[in-house]
Amino acid sequence: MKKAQSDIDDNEIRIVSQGRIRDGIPQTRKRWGWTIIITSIVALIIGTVIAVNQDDVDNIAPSQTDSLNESIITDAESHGRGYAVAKDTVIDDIELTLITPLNCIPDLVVGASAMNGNTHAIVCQGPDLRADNGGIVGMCVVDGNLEKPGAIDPLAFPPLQR
Amino acid sequence: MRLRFSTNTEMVQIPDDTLAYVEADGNYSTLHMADGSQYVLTLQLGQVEKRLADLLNQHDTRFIRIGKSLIINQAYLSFINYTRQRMILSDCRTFRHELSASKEALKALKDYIEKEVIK
Repeated sequence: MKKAQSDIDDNEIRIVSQGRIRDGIPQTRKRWGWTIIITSIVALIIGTVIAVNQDDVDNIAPSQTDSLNESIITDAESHGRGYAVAKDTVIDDIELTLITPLNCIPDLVVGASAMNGNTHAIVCQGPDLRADNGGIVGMCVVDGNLEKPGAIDPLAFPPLQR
Repeated sequence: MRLRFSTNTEMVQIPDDTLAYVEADGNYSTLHMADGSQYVLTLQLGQVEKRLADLLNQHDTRFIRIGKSLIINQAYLSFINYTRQRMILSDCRTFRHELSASKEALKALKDYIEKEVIK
């Protein structure tokens, strides 16, 4: 359709005798074109970023979680089910029950609730050390071995054989 | 051929090859002649364009409307630089008019004239 004589954009030219627009790209249409192009590019970039992040979530995070779980499970399973061995003994007329946890995963629990629970596996006390020479006072068990009572220097006295 | 523009109070009649360009100035239009003279018409540029279209043969492509403000006689177009938005109308002897238009329009004009020459 022929445009009206005054209907021309600053970015257009027209042959006067023919009334034909030679550059029919009005600025508004051009602006819309750029808007569509830029919007498409932005959408493409956002989509790509989301897709990449999704891949990261799908590929990396689960694998890390899986490997962590697997390592825990594998370690636990490789050693079998966790259990504790209780061994009654008498040391210097004192009855003791030595409880050794096996295949158990230590778990630190802080708070009073632990005191009310019935799952305490072991409660032990570290050796008393002499203030003057650092030796162990009284008897104690180190690495499952009974140290000699009243030993001044544990290194000087080999553990007692049970 | 002579171009005649008439209003209620005035009339301008000029040889078609002496009109270099027409410039809009609000509701007025200024005819810039090759000899440097000017005629101000109480016509809008669209009205001048319509009058030219009525007078010219359909195959006469000398006059080109450029944007909202100009009609040029491409017979006098001697230079275009659309990146600088410059255009010079000159007969290379007696007159030289430097004009400005949008980059897009000047690029379109350049392309059109190059294609017309090839034809």
